[in-house]
Amino acid sequence: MQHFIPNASEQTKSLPYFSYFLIAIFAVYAFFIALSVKNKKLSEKLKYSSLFYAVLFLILAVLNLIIAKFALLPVLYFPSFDKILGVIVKEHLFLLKCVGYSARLLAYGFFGGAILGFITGVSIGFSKTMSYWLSPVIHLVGPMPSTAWIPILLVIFPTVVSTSAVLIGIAVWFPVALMTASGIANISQTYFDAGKILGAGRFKSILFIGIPAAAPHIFLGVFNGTCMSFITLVVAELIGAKYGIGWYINWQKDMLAYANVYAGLIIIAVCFYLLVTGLFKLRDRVLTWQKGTVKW
Amino acid sequence: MVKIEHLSKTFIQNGIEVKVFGNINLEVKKGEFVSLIGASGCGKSTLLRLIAGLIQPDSGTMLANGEPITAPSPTRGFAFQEHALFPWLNIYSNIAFGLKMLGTFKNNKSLVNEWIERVGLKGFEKSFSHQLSGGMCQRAALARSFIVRPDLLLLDEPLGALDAFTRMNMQDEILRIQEQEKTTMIMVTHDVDEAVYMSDRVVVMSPRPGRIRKIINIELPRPRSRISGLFTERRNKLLDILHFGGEEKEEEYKI
Repeated sequence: MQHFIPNASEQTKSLPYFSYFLIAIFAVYAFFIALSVKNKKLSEKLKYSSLFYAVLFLILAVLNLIIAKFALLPVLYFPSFDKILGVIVKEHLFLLKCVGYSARLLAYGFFGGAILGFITGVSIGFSKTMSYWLSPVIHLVGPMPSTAWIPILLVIFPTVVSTSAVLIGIAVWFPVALMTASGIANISQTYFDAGKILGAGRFKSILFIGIPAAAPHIFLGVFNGTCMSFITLVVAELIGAKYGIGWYINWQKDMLAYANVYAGLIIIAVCFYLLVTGLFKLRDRVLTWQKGTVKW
Repeated sequence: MVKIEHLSKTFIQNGIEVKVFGNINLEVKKGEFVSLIGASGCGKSTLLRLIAGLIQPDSGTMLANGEPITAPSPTRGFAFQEHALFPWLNIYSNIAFGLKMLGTFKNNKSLVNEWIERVGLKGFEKSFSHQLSGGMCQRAALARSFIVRPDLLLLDEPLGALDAFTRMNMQDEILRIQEQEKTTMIMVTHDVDEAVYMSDRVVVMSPRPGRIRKIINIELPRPRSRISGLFTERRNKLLDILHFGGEEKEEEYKI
């Protein structure tokens, strides 16, 4: 019901995209309201979030008035919602290509870094020798912002893609390795003793006790790594990428096409939101056993 | 079953050598229930961990079934003070853990259900340890120990964290399973009543350095009553030996 407010505020329109957007949102909302008649849980949920959406769309309406209707802010830097949405609609193929390119880079770097970080962390956690040699490396190299490596990586790696992927990899590797190692170091010795008594050898102890017991820490590392990977991705795309959402934003900024910049930002926000939400869902599944889980 | 001769163990604490005990001799017969009792610092838990093979002695010999003890083995079970169930596994998987480690789980799935039923945890298979009470967790931990059929079960104050009523129920439960399984038991406890109620023999240890001060036979018929005169008499004498009888005495007692 709250959507009558934003709907009322769209009397003046230059380009119709924002109206379309509002109508679409209204339709979706109406659909959910219709569903909630029979579904009590959904109805509770809608009631709970209705205030948030009401205020959100009120703010959008006010912004719309300020930006589009009365042009109180410099038009060059603050394009109307219609224009921004228009970019998304008109350039969706190109934007999709950019997102795909970024996703590929992120996937290479993130999974490479996370897997290497996990292996490093487990080695440090379980092997005194590995801990002796690797811990200093982690503590020395780890805190360095991975972007500081750019000049060197550009020389070592042949392509921009590999350089960017390695850059993201380094950024993810450190938090994952550190948290995995610290997670293993914090496991109560009793669990390993109990495992030994029940016949778990060294390898089985690592697999069935060490890794599951350290899983909460490992996930924390992965979350930190994810955030680092987003930052690094956007930076990495500035070093000469041909496509990519970070590159797109920077390129459009240079063209003073601010509607496109905002469109890019919206897309980044949505993509990263989806990725992080997916990760949360995965964590909740894997860590159902945790008492009083840390809420995010 | 277990034979310990001239066992000594020293720990290094903050660079200083601390002698836990110098010369421990103990023999435990098959099927026997032996309690280790004594003030903290007398090395009873250390002795238990040595027998388990979790730590190594400085000198002396330890034999289990005639074989020297060098490493932990599923034939020598261990019940920990704080149940030590794996919090990331549900009750079913915890109980099945030993079988999985031995690689015999696939052929013994019914055994897991059998033990879940024997310790009264049917319906809680999918629960995690933090969702259950301390007593239920300790029952699950016992099932986890017993399922691999150890000859010997070492109990390190397994009931210490439970309330008095749960504790007494658990004592009966342990005795019931022991009677069925004929497992040899060595239990560390701080509770005199518990020692008298459960044991065939009580080993009284004294600290700094740890040594066996006295071994007392409890020749009461089973099942025992906690309120009978004979029970109280033995309990009082044991308390006396431990210097909790009111006045300090260093005399020999015959129970």
